Amino acid sequence: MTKPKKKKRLPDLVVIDQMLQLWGDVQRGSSLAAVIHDNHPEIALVGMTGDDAAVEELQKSKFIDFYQRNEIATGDCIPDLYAIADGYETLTHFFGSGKAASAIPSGICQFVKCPKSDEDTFVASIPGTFKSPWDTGTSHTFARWIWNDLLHRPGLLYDALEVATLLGLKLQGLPLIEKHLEKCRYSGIFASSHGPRWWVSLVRDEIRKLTKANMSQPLWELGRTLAGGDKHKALFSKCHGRPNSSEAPTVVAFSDGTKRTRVQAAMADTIPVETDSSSSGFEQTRQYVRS
Amino acid sequence: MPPRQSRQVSRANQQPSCYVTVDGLLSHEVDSLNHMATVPWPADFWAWQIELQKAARAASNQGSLNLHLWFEAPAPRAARDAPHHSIELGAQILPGQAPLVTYFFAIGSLHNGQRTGLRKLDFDMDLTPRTQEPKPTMHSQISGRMSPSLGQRYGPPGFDNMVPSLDKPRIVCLPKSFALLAHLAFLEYQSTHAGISNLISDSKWLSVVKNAEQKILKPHIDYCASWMQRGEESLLSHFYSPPRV
Repeated sequence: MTKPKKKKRLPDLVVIDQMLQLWGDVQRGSSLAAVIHDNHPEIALVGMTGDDAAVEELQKSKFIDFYQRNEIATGDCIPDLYAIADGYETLTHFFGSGKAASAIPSGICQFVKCPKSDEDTFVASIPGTFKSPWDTGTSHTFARWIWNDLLHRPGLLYDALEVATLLGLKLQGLPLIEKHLEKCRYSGIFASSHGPRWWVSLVRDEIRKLTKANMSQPLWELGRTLAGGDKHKALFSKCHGRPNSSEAPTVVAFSDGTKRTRVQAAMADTIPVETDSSSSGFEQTRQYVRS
Repeated sequence: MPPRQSRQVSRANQQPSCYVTVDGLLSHEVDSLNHMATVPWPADFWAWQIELQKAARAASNQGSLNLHLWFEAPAPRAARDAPHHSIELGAQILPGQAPLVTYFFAIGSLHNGQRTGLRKLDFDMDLTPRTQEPKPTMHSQISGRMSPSLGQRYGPPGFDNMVPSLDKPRIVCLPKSFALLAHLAFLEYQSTHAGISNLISDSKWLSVVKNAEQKILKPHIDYCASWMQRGEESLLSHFYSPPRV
C-alpha cells in the first residue's frame, strides 16, 4: 500500500525579481513568470526591479503590477500584495466556474461593488474581451485591467490627491473631511489600505447633500466650506506654478515629462500626455506645461 | 379680492413657470450626458463617448456646462459629389446672477478640408431679470454669433451671412436639452447616414431621448395644455411677457 501523496499547497502570490541569477546565468523574471502562468494560472504574479525604466512594457505585462525593489523592502506596498493575492483568488474562482457571457458584466459589477448610478458607465468602460466567456489567461489580463486602469487611472475612482483637488484642498487638507466620505470609499475587489480610492460620483453626491448645495455650486467651493472655510485656508489647494493666483486647481497632472511627481494644476496649464490614449470611463492623464 | 380682469392680467404678466430651473437643467444634463455616453454610437462618432463623459464630469465638478460636438453627413437632396454637411451641436449653461443658457445647431459645408458656415440656429433660455424688450423666455433665433469653440473650426467669415448683430425674430420654441437637440439633428440626417438611422431606433438611445422628453418637455407641454384649456389669455402673449422693468 502506498502512502497517499500530500497535496502541495500552491502560493497565492509570487513576487519575482526581473533580474534573476538562475543556473549561473542572468534570466528575466518575466520569462519565469510566463512559465509559472502557463502551468499555474491561479497564482497571482507581481514583479520587482531596481530600475523601472529598464523594463519594457511587454515584460511588465507578465505581472499584475511591478514595484521598485525599495517599495517591497520598506514594506509600504505589503497591503497591496495582500489585496492582489485575495482579489486574484476571488477572480479565478468566480470565472473558473464557466460563467455565461450575459452574467459576466453583472458579476464584475458585484466584484467591484459598483454604485447603481455608475453601472452603465462602468460596464461600458470594460473592454469587450472581458465580457465574453473567459479562458485560462483572462484572469491575469482582467486583474491587470482592474488594478492598473480601474484603480490607478482617474475616472470612476479617484485617489486621495484627486479627491482633495476635486474638493479644493491640498492633500494634507483631505483628513479634515475624510470622515464624511467613508461611504464613498472603494471596498471592492483588490481594495488596498495602502492607496485608498473613492467613487467620484458618490463623493459628489455626498458633498452636495452635506452642504445642501445646488448643482451650480462648484465642488471645490463646497469642499472648502465643509473643511471649515477660511479657518483652514492654509490647506486650500493652489494651482502649481501660480503661487499668487486664487483660482482653484481643477486637475491633477504630472509636473513634467518624467511622470514621477503629480501636482494640482489649472486645466489651462496642462496638456494630455500623448502616450495615454482616451478611453471610455477614464480621464486622460495630463502633464503640467506652463513655463 | 381683485376684480376678475385684473386677476387675468396679473396671471398673464407672470413669468411662465413651465421651464426647468437652471440648476435643474444642469443636473438633468449631467445625468443625460453620462447616459448618452453609454449608447452604441456609430463608428464615426467615436469621440462623442469620451467628450460627453468629459463634459458631464466638468459640469458636475464646476457647476457649469460647455459642450460642442459635431458629425459629418451627406446633405439630403444634394448631388452625390456635393460637399458634406458638418453638423455642429453646442450647449452652454453658466449659472449665476444673469444665467446664460444657450444651445446651438449649426450647419457648415465641408469642402477640401475647409468649412463654410451655412446656417445657425440658437435656442436660448433668457432669464434676464430686467429688460426693456419683450421676448419669450425660451426662444430660437437665427444667429451668426459663434462660441469660441465654433470659432476654432470656422475661420472668417464664419457665420457672418447670418447677420450676427440681428437678434430678431425670436420665435417661441420648445425647451431644449443636449439630448433633444442631438435627436433633432439625427432625425434630420437619418436618410443620408446609415449609422444615425440605426442609432435613432436603438432602445438605449431612445431611453435617453424619452427621459429628456419627460424631464424637459412634459412640464412645458402640460403647462401649455392647461393654459389653453382655461382659454383666458393668449399663450403666445403670455410667453412674450411684458417688459421686466
